[in-house]
Amino acid sequence: MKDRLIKNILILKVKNQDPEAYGQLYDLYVKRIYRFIFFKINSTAEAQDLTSETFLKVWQYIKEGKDIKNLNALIYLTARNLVIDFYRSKAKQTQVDSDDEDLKSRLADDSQDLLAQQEIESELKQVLSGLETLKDEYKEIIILRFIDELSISEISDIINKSKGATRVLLHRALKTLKDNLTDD
Amino acid sequence: MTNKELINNLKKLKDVEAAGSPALSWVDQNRQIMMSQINPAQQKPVKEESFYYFQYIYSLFQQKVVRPVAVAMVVVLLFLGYTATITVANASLPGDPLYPIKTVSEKVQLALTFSEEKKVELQVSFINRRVDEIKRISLTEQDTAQKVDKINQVAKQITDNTNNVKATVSRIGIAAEKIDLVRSLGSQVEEIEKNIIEAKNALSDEVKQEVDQEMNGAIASTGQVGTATLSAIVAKYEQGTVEITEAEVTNRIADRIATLDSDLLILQQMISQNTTSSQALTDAGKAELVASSTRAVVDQQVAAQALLEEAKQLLADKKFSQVLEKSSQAKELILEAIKALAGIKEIINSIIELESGQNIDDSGSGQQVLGTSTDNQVKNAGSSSSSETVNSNSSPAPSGN
Repeated sequence: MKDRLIKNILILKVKNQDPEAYGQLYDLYVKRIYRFIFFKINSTAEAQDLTSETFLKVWQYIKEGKDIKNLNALIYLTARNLVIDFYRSKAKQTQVDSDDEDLKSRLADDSQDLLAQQEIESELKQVLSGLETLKDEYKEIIILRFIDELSISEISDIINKSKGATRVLLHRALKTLKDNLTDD
Repeated sequence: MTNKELINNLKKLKDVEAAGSPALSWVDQNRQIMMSQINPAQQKPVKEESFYYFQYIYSLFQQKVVRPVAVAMVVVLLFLGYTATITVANASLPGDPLYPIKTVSEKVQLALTFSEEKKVELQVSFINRRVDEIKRISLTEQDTAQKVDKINQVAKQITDNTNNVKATVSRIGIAAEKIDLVRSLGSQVEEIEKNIIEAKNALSDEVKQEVDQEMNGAIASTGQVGTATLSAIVAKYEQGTVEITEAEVTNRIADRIATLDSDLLILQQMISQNTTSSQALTDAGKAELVASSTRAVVDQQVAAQALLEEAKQLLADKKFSQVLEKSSQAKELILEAIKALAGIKEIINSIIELESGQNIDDSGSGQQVLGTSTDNQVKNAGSSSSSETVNSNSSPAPSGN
């Protein structure tokens, strides 16, 4: 309850064009938005650029004094639109960041023991590979729901579907991922 | 991998860079760049923290308290207002300042009533109020034009209200548990129909002529409710789904036939009166036109009589659905005949008035024009009667199935 109160106060401040509050909002959202974009374009550099651009665009929208009913949805939708623009304007050359070498080198930075690292590595590798095989729509909803931990209601606002349709989509996405993992 | 395991694995990806978790160094650096762009002067917020707490609490209050309370207050005020004025408004008639309050409060009562049974009971009580209003207007309103307008207005409301009741009966008549309501409705609307006819008969001829159409409409629509309730009862009996005895069905239908017999007698009396009146006509041509139109009405009366005889025979054979069909057709014919007779009577009176005027006034041209239009009125009254006789295959009211 307290967290919700703090978050709601923060949103009020942001809507009142408080820059410091917007900085705090950035802290809350940056990882999610980065991940959201990263899984669509699979490039660290581009994901960083588009994430920066997302936050600047949203601030611009706030400064224009336009009515914002759902700030959460606004941020995700801005990110989404930027990804669409990215695909339109550039020839896409995907970099698979989840190949074996990159994965191992990144996980080596973790402070866990070797055995644990190997276990996480194999599970993660499997799940990440499975995610990669999914179509964008499925990938997006799985990330929003299970990694970003957004509610069905929040996701439905972002992907512009009804709650019922969102649940159905999520169910299908998870099933497809599971089937892909089973086949592997 | 089970669903649960898969979901747990997905959640673990949250802080793993390979799974799209950004490098912390980049996050910090990007924040600084962003802040330098959106707040280059590093200005402090203008509003105090307490302002935002107040704004948040106020918005919660608006959503969760104020709106529901406002709605509740409107309902309570309406209710208070209703009880405060109802005693006075109930006594009002069309044209009185409080009459709109009376009709609006009736609508509010209906809107706030959710049980279908209670709603129908309310509607019937409001129809009774309308009939009472017609009687009181007839007694209290001195100006004829005003009387006619008000009675027409109220009669139209009766028609609209009874149509609503009829629609409800058709809908609920199929439900076995509503049969008692249907039974009670049948008796009530029969009483209402009698009262409307009584109210109409109490009117002067001058007013009756002007309100005939609307009053007949009210009588017809009330009659249709009666037919609908009877059809529902017969249908339920024939299905055997509820406890309705053969005696009850027989008695109800017998009552209906008896009422139609009375209506036929009234029709016969009206025809006699018209025939007597038409004997005062001096113009042979016009008299023949009136006689021919009256013969068409007589044909309808004879046809209605024959249908009623058939209905009585079918009743004896316990063929209840067919009895209803025949009696409905008879009723339609009787109503059309009465309507046509009223038209003929009006024309007879007009002709007599004209002929009386002719004896005093010797100018010719005006008479011909007037004569022509009167001739056409007589012809039209007669031809409409004939067409009613030919097209008498009116289907019975829905049985509620």
